[in-house]
Amino acid sequence: MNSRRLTLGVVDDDEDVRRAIERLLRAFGHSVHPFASAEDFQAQRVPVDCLIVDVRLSGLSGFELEERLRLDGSPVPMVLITADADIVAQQNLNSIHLPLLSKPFDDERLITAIDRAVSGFPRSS
Amino acid sequence: MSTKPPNIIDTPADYQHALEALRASEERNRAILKALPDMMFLMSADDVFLDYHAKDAGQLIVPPEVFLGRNITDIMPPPLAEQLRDAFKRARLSGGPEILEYSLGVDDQARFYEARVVGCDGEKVLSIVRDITDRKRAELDADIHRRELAHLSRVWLLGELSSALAHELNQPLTAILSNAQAARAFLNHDPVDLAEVRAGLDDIIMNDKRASAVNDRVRDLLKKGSNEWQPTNVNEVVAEVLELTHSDMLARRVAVTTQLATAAPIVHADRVQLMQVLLNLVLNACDAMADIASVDRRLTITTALDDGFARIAVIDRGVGLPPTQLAAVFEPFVTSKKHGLGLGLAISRSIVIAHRGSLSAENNADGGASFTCVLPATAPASPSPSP
Repeated sequence: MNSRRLTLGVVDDDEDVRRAIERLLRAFGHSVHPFASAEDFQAQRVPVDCLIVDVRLSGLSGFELEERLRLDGSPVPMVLITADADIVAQQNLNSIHLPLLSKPFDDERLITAIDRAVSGFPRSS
Repeated sequence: MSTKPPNIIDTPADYQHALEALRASEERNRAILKALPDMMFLMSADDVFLDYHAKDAGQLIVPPEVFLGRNITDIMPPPLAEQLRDAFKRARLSGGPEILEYSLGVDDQARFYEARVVGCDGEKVLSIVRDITDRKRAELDADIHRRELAHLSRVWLLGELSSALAHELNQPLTAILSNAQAARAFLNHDPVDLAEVRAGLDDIIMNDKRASAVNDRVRDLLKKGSNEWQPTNVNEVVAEVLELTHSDMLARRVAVTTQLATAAPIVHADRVQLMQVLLNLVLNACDAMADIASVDRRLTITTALDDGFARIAVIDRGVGLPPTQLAAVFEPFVTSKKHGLGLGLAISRSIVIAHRGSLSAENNADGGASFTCVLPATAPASPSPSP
């Protein structure tokens, strides 16, 4: 498990879930910024090492946020999360290679997914 | 025997005239009796069979020689004999008609009867008995059919809602698990951050309650309408369906507009079944708009009270119905969906018909389709001033 202290963003429109994941990541020693929507994250332009993003959001979806950031030339390592089993099934069909966790998830799986997303990400610097 | 004084007959001509009138009246009575499908039993003051009429002897459960001159308690099974005697007693007091429905086992089959009892000729009573077995069986069949439909529709509703429910439950479950695991991780810190542990526990408690509330809502929803027909506010049903589908609408990028009648139409309905019809129409409308640009995915729901009828329309801006399917769209197993069974609209139509209403479909002039459900309205929710 990576022991490096990371700066992470949590994007989820459900306040309870957002606060819980924030607390969990803080317990693992990371610094966490919460966002209620993809638009909120884009507006604040906080630099993060990795984003944990819910797929279903009231505005832009998690998938759309990933695409925008990539097309804008500022991609961010990302772990998608969803409470919707259909989305997980679709993702498997479409074989999109973004890590996707179905809610609820174990802390170990989340931390591992974040570590993988961060370490496997091509860095410009 | 008659207690009335005899008519005064003054002249032979009067006598002849009265006799003819009497004969004519008797013939008329005989003709009426012959035409009546009902059986008649004349009962004495102490409930003995004095006389009877039956169009044909097959109508009688026991032959006349068995029951004539006998007391009703010797002929009928005890509880029924008592019920009939009570009706006779009431008819003697009120004059009648006292109406009693009962069933009797005849040749291993239940037959249903309706007795209308009138007082006649002093303390006697006349019991006019009609065989209503056919009508009763049709009513029972319709009732069984309605119950089956109600059951089927509940099962189907749960299926439709299951993914929405899973989503609603997974959110608090996620909050509970992550808070619990955060609290456990915080306990390993040195020193332990008790404030974080406590806040995590508070959030666990809150989210556990949130999950229970989802459970309660589903239970209420299914219990509330369990075959209960009651005055139902159409606007409220629309609002409840939109609440249930809210997260689904967000995910599908469908913008919902409502135009609800200011005086909410009230219909006599099984609330859950009505919700189901509407839920089905809303989900269909969303499916029809899945392949168009998300800015154009507009769903409109209107309610109106129109000449004693409640009208609910679900209007989409989707691809519309192929003209060849317009007529067949309510037939079972007709579907344009890849994974559809084609039962939703068939069940919906059955439900609406059971509510004495109609469900129709048409393509809009400016694109998309409209489904309109029309139901007999009882009264508006808030009394409007009378004209």
